Amino acid sequence: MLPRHPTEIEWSDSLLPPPSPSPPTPAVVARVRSLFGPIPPWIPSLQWCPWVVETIVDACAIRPVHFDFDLVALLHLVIAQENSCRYCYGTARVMLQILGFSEDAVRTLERDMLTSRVSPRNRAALDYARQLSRADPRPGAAQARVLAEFGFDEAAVAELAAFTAMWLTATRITTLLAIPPAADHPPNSWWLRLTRPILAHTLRRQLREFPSAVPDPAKRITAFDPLIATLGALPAGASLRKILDDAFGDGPLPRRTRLIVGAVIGRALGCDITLQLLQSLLAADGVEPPAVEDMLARLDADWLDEREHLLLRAARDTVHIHQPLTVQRRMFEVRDRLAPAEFIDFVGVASVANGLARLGVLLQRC
Amino acid sequence: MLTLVFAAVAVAFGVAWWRRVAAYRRLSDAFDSAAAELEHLQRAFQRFVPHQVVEGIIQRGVHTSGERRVVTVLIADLVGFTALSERSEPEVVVRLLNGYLQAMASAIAEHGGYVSKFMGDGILALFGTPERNPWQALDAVEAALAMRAALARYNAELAAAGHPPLRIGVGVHCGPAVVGLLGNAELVEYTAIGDVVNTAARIEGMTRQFGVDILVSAELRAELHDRHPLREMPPVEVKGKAGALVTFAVDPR
Repeated sequence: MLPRHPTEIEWSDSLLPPPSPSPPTPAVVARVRSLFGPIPPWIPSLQWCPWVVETIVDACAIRPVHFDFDLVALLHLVIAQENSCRYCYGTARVMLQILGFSEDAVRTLERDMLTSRVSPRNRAALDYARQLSRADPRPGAAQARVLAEFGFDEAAVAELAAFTAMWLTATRITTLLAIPPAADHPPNSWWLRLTRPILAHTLRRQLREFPSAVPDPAKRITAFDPLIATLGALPAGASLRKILDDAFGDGPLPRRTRLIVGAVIGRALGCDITLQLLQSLLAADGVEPPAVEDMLARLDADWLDEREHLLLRAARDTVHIHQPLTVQRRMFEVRDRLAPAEFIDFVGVASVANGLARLGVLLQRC
Repeated sequence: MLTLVFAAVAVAFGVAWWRRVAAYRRLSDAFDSAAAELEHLQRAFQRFVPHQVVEGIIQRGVHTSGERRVVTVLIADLVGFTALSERSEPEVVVRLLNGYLQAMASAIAEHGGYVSKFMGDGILALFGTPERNPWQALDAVEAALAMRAALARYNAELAAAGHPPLRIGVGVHCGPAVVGLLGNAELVEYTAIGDVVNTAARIEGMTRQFGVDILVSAELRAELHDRHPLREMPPVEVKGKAGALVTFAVDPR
């Protein structure tokens, strides 16, 4: 049963480690400020792994080309609700209210998309996003045809899938870390209603002018090229490129460990494309496909180290989240056995892998 | 005169507007109340049917149809329950049974299983549905081991209260089945139908014959990829089966 309000979601105490001693770079601070306004209090704790902070910014602030900001905001609400992310659910509600949706309209949306005043085109897009988020099974050719009837061409469907996958990545990070909810009850004062048109205009302009992510060519992982190519020159493509390169390159966790985490999630979601991509990268690290296959079949292998054993199981728990509290309780064990940078890195990698395994639909129409 | 006419029109307009607002509020309240009631029913229904199925029913109505997929079936039964219920007061039996079922259902849910139904003291649990799960066989065996551990804890509580210990038999098998909302127009349940269920039940029955608590089929063993220590049991000829049924006992790790 989907939650009907953020407060319905049981949420654990925060899993955030203490703040990192190294502050974010001025460039990151500038990007975070332009997205969130003030720096959110959880940023210093994520700063143990700067790429995770950047991933959240890159995943949330993408300029859409084939649809408008209202659909982006609705998409955020649906994905946050679908994945029971209390933090993102609250922020998505605030965003919708700033864009002009009344509290009643948001409540109707939460209660039943069919009776709400969402256009049939947007409803079809949200249905697609919902199914992609659930990934059981992922949307296939039939769902793409429905979108085509509403004018979504192949590029638009790819963009919609990328927005869904990247927003899901952001919600996973906030859920797995149980980031304290900031907007369970958004302010609904007269001055907010009065200034709403200005705020909405500012928000739209901010997102329209938000600079695209700039991937580092030195970090480029060519195995992801075919997937990125499906997004052409869309801003979402640059964001996805940067996120994937950061998540599956070198980091606080060894590359092999990161790839193993991704492979487990790919198998759990039945995404052969993700598995092929990550297996090819693992092979470059000296782990041959039969060994990976055996490890995935048994969820165990002699060649795994102690940390990989722990993360193999933890990765599985991140795939379908209906009751965050259950997963968050298990994450405490992971947090307590890893260094802060490793823990944040794991959360980031698992979250990106969850997005990737859903996005595989672009290459594997199933 | 004109002022009076204006005043009368204003009053009439005000009354009409006020009535309209009041009617809108009444409708809105009624809608909210109906929605809350429906939500309450949905949540209650979810105790009996997976939430994905509840959503399907809301969108498309009740359709008793199934989907063919590979699932793992775990069937558990209390050994000697009939004798226990004959010796004890019904209230005591119900209390013992509820405590037992609660402990077992938690162990199953903890490992991703879905309790399809309680059959007296028996339990039918499914793995690999409603959500697909590539590690369903592994999860089912780990659930069985968790049930063993949970029963040991429950028995300690029973012993402290002066009750005899309970013993279980668990049979696990995997294979294709039709899963979904099955039944007739009056009564439906989310369950699995197929030989896999009957075979799991047969295997559960064989636990008594071999004096062990957990038995798995050869098909399930193949899915475990040597993750658990298993001990092969002598093959057993079973009515309705072409060959003898080979099973494996799951030893403590």
